[in-house]
Amino acid sequence: MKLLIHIFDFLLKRFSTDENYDLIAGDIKEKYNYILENKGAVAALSWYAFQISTSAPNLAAAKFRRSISMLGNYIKTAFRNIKWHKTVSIINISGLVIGMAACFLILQYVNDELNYDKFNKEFNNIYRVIEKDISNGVEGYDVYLSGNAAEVLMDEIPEVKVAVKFFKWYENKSLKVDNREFEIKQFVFTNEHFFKMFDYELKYGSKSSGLADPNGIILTERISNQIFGNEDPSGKVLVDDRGDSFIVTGVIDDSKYLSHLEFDALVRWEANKYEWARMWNSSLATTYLLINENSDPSLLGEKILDVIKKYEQQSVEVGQLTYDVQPLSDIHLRSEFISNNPEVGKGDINYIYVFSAVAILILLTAFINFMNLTTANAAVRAKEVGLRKVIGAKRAQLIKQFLGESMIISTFSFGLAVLSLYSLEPVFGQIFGKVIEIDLINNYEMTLVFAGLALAIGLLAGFYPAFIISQFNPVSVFQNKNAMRNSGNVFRKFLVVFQFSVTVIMIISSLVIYYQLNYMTGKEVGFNTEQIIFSKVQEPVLEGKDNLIKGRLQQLSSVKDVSITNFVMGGHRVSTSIKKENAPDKNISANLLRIDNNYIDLYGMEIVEGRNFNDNLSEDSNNTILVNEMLVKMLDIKDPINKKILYWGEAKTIIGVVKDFHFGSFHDKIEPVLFNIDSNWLSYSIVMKVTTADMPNTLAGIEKVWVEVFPEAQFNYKFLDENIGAMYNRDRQTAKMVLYFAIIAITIACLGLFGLSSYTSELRTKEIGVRKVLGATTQDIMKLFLKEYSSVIVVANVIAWPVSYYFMNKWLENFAYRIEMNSELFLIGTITALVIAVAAISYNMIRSAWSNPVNSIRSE
Amino acid sequence: MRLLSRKEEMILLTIWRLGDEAYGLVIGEKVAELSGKYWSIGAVYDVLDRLSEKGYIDGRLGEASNDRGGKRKKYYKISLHGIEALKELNAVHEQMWNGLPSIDT
Repeated sequence: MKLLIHIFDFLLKRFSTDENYDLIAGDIKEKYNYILENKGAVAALSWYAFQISTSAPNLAAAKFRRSISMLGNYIKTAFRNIKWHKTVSIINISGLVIGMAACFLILQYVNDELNYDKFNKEFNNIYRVIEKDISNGVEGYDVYLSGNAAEVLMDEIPEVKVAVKFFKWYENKSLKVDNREFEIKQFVFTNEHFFKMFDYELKYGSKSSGLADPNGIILTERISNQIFGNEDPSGKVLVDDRGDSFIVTGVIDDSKYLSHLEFDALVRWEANKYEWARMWNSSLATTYLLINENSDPSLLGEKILDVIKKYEQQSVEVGQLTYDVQPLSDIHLRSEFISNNPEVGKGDINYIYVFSAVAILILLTAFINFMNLTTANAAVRAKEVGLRKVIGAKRAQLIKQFLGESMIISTFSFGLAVLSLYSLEPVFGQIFGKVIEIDLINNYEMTLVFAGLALAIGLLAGFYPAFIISQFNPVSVFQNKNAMRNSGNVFRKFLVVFQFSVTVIMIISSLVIYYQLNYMTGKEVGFNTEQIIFSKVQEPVLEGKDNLIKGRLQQLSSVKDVSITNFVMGGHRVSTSIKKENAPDKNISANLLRIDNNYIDLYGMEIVEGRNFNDNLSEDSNNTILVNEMLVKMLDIKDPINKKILYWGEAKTIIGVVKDFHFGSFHDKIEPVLFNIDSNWLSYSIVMKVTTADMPNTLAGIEKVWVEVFPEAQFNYKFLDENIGAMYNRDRQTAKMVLYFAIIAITIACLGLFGLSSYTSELRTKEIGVRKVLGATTQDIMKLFLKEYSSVIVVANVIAWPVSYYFMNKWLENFAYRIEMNSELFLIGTITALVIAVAAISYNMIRSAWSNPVNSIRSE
Repeated sequence: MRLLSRKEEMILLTIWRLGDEAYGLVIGEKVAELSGKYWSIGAVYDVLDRLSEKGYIDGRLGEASNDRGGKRKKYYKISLHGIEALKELNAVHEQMWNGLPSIDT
């Protein structure tokens, strides 16, 4: 009986608004008692039950309406407050917008990087074959196999379902259609299984027939548009420089895919008519295996070795070469260990960690600003809160109101951040060095993450002030304005310290990166890099014309020197395994350079012992070589001149030692180098030292000669220093990114300091007024301000130094040649941070210091 | 100004009719009696809420009694606004009905 009544009562309470509950409960009680007296308990109870059940929908509707109108009310008040506290609101919103936009951007970037190659449905079962060479005592990894390997691996290893080869032609390939010629940068030979492994969709043509025709060619949309405009090119014929024709069988919009594979055109392996490129000992194709789901990839290495040994009789030295496989999804980010990886410098898992951390830090600083300013401002608003309490606002209502305000600000900022992301999209390409597409509609997971973050920020930032403020005792608020000053002060200081530490760390990091880059570009590489241009030429084109082209070019007054070589600094390297004559067991891998007698002089290198190759090359038989100091050291040869070393099965005599130079980038230690004059290569570079006074004329002169000597080849020159500079592109990119994000972090921190200082000056208006009346000078007031912030800044620096030292040391370890981090760097970082901090607070500081005490004291 | 809904009109008229004695329970009973339809307490309060939000009625808290489990009553009175709304509704009514052929066939 009683229980039923309680239950009914409880239901009534759930359904009705607080206000109505009292009235309705009263009404019901009155009627219930009446029925109870006149008709008995059963009638009364059933009446009650009937009332509850029929009232519930109406009551619920009323309650819902009420909460909506309350929400509207909160929003209205919130907007009013945002408008009243304009400075704080603008600072809050701009800080959040910048922080969110930067953070979302980085997250999008990180997400893109992590999703490389995952569009392939079977990415978990696809592996790339890796060759491991342990001949130097150091492990060397390589991704190139013979182009013939894919088919035999597929035939001989049962768990390999599909094997695909991917051989990117070394040079640009020119294709002709109706006398118009187009340069295809990435011309790739693959096999007909390509689409069985990689799930690209074709815009035109079909996956099944795309590579069925041995003469078929599949173009990317970009290339197709360039050649054929927007129409469907299927069936059109392209002719290459050898006169072979290709029929367009498909078009792929590859920009839609995050893939480590880069190609402009795909053709069948059969179209590769070059004898040398079809041989078993030409390592040139990356090979991918799609294996059965349940098979163990770790066992594949040995099986691959067995198969390769079987087919490639020579050159595999037992115990020196082994094979391994790398998961497809690791290729983009985890390939740094592969020395000649074509993907090198494109992705790096370490950068993913760094950038994720940066994203979180930036968002945190923005968040801290928001929270700090809200708490600080809350103290200013103490009176408002007091008044609300006096006229009967409940604590829950105040909390709701503050939360509502911060939610509105964060939602609003979220919207602005998204808008700015869309409108700034082109700029990101520059910062990241690649296109970052923000597509909130199709990429809804990211949108949810972003929105979730924005909501979380609003909630968290509102929570703390909401609880602190709602605790205020209205009486003390009205008695003493300063009673509020210390509320949350320690916490706020802690947050500012954190925020400022991040700023200082970012400044120091940018400085270190900048210094290191400067050091690398300024450091002597050990040879001339200026006034040198080069152009590549294919072996068949050059054949027999070495002296002709050299002679003709040297006749030009603008050309000081000419040399023909297989390698230009910053380009692809070739290495070979060499041995000391009397110690045939010890192998050393050395870079191999095919040069001529002009090379050493042209580059301004120095011969420290022995002599250069003779002008008359025939005097130097095929058996003479030059080496660099590092090679002498590694081979441990005393008096190297006329000593012999073995490579390619022959003994060669050292005739000279070249002073060490930086063969690769400053990331690497100086490597051993061997120079010869007789080796044959697929392509050469003609290197020219020129006078730069009248570059256009010089180039025109060279081109004229070039076209005369090589009618079939183009003169595509490049500058050597650009080629070398390209080795540091990745580092420059990093520097740029860190710099941009440092600026963002600093901006946010400044906004925060500005906001805090304006709050301080507002809160202490009266105090400052009194001080001035009592004779404080402008300087005294400024000191007051500086004192408040100096301790914070000092502590922040003390935290920032070791942290940035640790991380930047890690980064510098990437470089074999690097700067030392000295105290100067840290001092500059700190001073920069200080100057910025003082600048941020100076406006409010000066305004307070100059204020007329009469006004400030009268203000209350 | 939005016209009063039928329910609002009924409750308003009932409050008017009840004069000084209009509180939730009585309003509900009276309106049920007059309209011949069942009105749950919830339905009455739903309409009362809406009317007071719009300012058509004013509430005044009355005395608490043992009878009501110590809870107070709230007496409602039509405001000037409410009277205007009723007048307007009435005018619309008359206009709509005016000049129609008789429906009493």
